[in-house]
Amino acid sequence: MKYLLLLLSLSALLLGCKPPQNNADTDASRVKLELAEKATNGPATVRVYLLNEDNSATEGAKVTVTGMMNHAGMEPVIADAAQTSAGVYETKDFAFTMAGDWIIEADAEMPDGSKATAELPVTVPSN
Amino acid sequence: MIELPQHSPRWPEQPRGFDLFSLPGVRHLIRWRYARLIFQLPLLLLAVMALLDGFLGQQLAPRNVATTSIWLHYRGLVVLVLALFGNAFCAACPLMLTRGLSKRLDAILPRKFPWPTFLKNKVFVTLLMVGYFYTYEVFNLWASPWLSAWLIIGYFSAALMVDTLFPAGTFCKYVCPLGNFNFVFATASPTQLTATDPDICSNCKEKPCLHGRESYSDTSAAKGDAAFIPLSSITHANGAGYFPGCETNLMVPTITSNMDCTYCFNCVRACPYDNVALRTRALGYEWVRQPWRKGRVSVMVLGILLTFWGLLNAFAMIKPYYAFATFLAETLHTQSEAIILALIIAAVTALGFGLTLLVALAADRLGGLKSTPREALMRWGYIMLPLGFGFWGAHYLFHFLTGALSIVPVVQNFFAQQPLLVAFNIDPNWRLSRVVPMKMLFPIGAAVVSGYALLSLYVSLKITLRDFGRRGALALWPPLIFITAFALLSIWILSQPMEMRGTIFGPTY
Repeated sequence: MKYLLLLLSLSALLLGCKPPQNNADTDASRVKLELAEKATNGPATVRVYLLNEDNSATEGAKVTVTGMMNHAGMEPVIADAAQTSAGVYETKDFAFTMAGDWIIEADAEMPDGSKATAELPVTVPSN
Repeated sequence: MIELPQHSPRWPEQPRGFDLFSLPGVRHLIRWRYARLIFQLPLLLLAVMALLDGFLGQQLAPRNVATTSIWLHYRGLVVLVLALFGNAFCAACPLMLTRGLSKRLDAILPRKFPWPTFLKNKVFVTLLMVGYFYTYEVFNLWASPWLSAWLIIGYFSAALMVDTLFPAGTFCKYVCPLGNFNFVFATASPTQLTATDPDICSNCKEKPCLHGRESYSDTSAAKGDAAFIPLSSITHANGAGYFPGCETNLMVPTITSNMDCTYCFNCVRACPYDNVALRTRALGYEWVRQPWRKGRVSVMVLGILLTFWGLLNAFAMIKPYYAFATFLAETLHTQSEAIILALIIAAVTALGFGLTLLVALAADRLGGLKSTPREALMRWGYIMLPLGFGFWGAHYLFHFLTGALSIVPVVQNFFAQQPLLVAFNIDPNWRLSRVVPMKMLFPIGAAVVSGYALLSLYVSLKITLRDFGRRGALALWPPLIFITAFALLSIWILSQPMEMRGTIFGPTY
């Protein structure tokens, strides 16, 4: 048991020599994320652009936007994004709950069943 | 046949509350030689998960086992458990599972080294603790799963190294910052190990609770690791073999404080008379009896500093701190967070200790005592401990109640990323987070802080009644003013909107 643990620990050590790249599943070519206006503490509109593999606008996708803080345990802000025009989806109920560093993630489920995700780091300044 | 000495030392007073070991099955379980392993193994498993997720998983703090388990769940649960039970996390500490490996390494080294005498106090651990707080802030450990995983590696490595080079218990007593945080605030806990019948301890020659024992049916099996007590002489025999004693050098009938007690229950297993109890005690029991008065200045200083570091740890999450840090940065013409933080921590440390000393001396002088600063500190320092525990508790509880349920999607996410489990299409429910409604968070925190402030006041009152007689009414004023100010400051900090770090010195990613 202890040798297994030692092996596991040594493996973790080797694997931990540099932090892994984040967003392994991000598909930057299909999903683009931006804030409709400058980030402030309070309600915000997150705009998500979706493209199909043939670069045409994606229609009818299910898009969820999650705002997370860079601290474990703070409640995420989760809002659905509704389509406003071809390939463009916007949130209505998203709001930054405090100033600081946020990571906004958009998860899109395409009509063909495929999934794509993208992240956008945002710093919300103090009021 | 063991020859028992005919002397009866006077043991100090110990709590006489309900013995938790008398609950059905508990004593039998705790006296089982592998009892501690039951509690250590789950935490070891969690540590392995944290390592894997920290090194290999999604590098987002709210979605990673490493950051969530350490900075949210461990910290929240530790204060809850200390308040409601005792030092259970030291009891379940997986770091001590390196003991097996360290025993193998013992064979390579010629001998263990004695821990230096000048370090047989809490000075080293205090320095480590301030270094830990500093590193936590400068490197934003709370935001980095990768660094959090390295912290785990560092801890296990340090425990292994110290345990190999120095006598058992050295790491716990003189090195471990986590353990010593627990020791200080276990003084708030409602339980304590005691002797069931002190007269039995008086007549006990070998003191196995301290030195350990070996018990076999036959003497020939003994290896000489500790005093041999035949199995037939053991009350409620709990198996043959070697039963180690207390590694932090506590002898059960002399225990008057939870300081340095890891709740490992070695003493319970080693006692041949089954004479150890885990008794309940009143809130503040230890603080009003002042068990550290004999030469444990470094212990008191550690407790005092932890109180003020707790304030700083929370203050650094609100807007006024950022305003002050920006002012300092502009004044000193620097954008170095390392320098700014070092200055702030140094200032808080000096100010906190100085203020405590001032309050203690003022109280003594008003009470008519011409005490030295050390005497005053050792008399009044105890009033800081409930304040410190109240504030750490309120702060950690705030974060815990805000996000405790996130452990469910975080663990789901951990398994969802494992190649063998991808087919199960695990979809973490990230909406799981809060335990209580947001509007309850401040009232809960304020209640905790207020409750412990009242306890601090109670301790102050007991001190004045015990040491000052008629002039106690005057002596009480400085502590009363300080406690009130501390409580108001604590409540004010808790009422401020939180801001995540990184807004002044750039993002933390």
